[in-house]
Amino acid sequence: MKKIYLFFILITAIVFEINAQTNQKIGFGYFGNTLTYPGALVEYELERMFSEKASLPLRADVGFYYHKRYNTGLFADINFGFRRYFDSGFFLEESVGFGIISTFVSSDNVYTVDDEGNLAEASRYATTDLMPSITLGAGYNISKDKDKKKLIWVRPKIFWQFPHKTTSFYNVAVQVGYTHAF
Amino acid sequence: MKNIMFITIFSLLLLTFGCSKSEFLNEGDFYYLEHKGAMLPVWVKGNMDSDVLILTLHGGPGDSGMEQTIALGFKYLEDEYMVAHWDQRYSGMSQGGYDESVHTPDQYIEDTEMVVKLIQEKYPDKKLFMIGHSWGGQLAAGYLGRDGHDDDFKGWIDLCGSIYGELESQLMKEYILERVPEKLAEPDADIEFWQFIVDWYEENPAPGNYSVGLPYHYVAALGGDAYDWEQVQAENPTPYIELIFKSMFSFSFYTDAFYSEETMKKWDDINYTPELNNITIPSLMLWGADDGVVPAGVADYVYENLGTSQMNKEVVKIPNCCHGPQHDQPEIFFEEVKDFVETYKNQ
Repeated sequence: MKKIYLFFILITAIVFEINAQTNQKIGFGYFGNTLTYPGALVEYELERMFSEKASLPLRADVGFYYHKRYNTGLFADINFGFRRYFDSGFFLEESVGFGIISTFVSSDNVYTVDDEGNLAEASRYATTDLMPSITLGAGYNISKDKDKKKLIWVRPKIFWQFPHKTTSFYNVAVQVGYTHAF
Repeated sequence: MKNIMFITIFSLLLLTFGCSKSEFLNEGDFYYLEHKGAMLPVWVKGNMDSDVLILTLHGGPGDSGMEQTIALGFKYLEDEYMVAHWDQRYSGMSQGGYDESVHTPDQYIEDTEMVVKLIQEKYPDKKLFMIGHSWGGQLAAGYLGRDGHDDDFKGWIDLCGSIYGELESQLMKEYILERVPEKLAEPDADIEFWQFIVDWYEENPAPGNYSVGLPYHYVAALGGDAYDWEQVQAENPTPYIELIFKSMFSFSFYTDAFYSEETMKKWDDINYTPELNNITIPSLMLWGADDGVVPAGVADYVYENLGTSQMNKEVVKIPNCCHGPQHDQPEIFFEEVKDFVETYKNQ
């Protein structure tokens, strides 16, 4: 698992170095796995502006969610996409992402049983999977200063966990948050 | 600032909704059992004061034990007894990494053994019964018939359970081919479809019981899986909103590890008849008389091959009922299981 995370950090660093821009932002938000299983995320974004109305944002997210009686997911991913601003301050965006997710089962307890039938508590760690994703977004720039944006946004996201069993499976999440340019 | 306030309030509302009371998130005891890389959820619920605990083995393979509680028949059972549901390896809501080397029927029997040990440790004074549905019935036979495992149980309810794939695929074929002529004779018959089934069986006289899925579709087309689908839905409504937003379920439910024909062939080869001979505890073969998925002739086969004495085993075939007595005829299902449990719990 450590090797996967180190590899991911290295890739992220390279990607952000290649795309280094002065237009940097940080943000945070609610991460609702299937809307209601709560979590949070923080983000760091580089936005390459092509005009006042169009940009290519590159975003790194780190977050978690807690799904009672199922699992807690810790994830990190990078998202690359397109954002379109409107004169009213609204914007729309889409991005594709790639990351990793580690899951830990959530329950009253986790046990293992030895051959003699003795119970012992076991680790909650379940698995570390790849996490490709597609994210759509809509938001509003509440700042009147176009160079120092303050964005509020809603981002529905579909992310996959791969491999899972012998295939993969998808999760649907809704993210609501705030991003601040500095 | 107003916008930040709005986001905060919205987030708190979501948190509140996400944590509100739900049967699936709050009732009973909920554990995971880790064994050979798999994380198996175990949900013990129902009447926790009962001196009887019924351990369920779900069907599929690949289904979920967590969903059994939706069936009205199991709800009745939970009102009366403690019931332990669990999800098998690579099925339902189980988690953990995949390992082909432990994706074998024998491993499922070993997992069952571990779950039983967990239950015995957690609830040492309970009188144990086992109920296995469909593939879960086959798994129960494999488990109970080895290493004297049946000694730990007061009784076994075989609910439309598989046992011997080769036999079942032939009984299923008979079930289908007996009924197709009636369908062909109907005035508005889809002759092309029903004739396709007849022709298919001529080309595939002995299909694998698990690896070949088409016969199950034929049975469904003949109404051999649920006796009255609309009534089943009315009596056992699936609470989709609760399941999606307030339960242990994720979309992982829709995936399992039984897509490969190669894997399923390992299940085709199962014949637990020798294990049946080793089982000597009281046993109830509870079947839908019109079951087309595991036809009721299998119940007679199990009865004949069980090591249990004649006075302690019984076949009950419920009329107007197919592969899910817990859905099709929940009251009869409950009464039969209760009669059986009450008869044998103190013996």
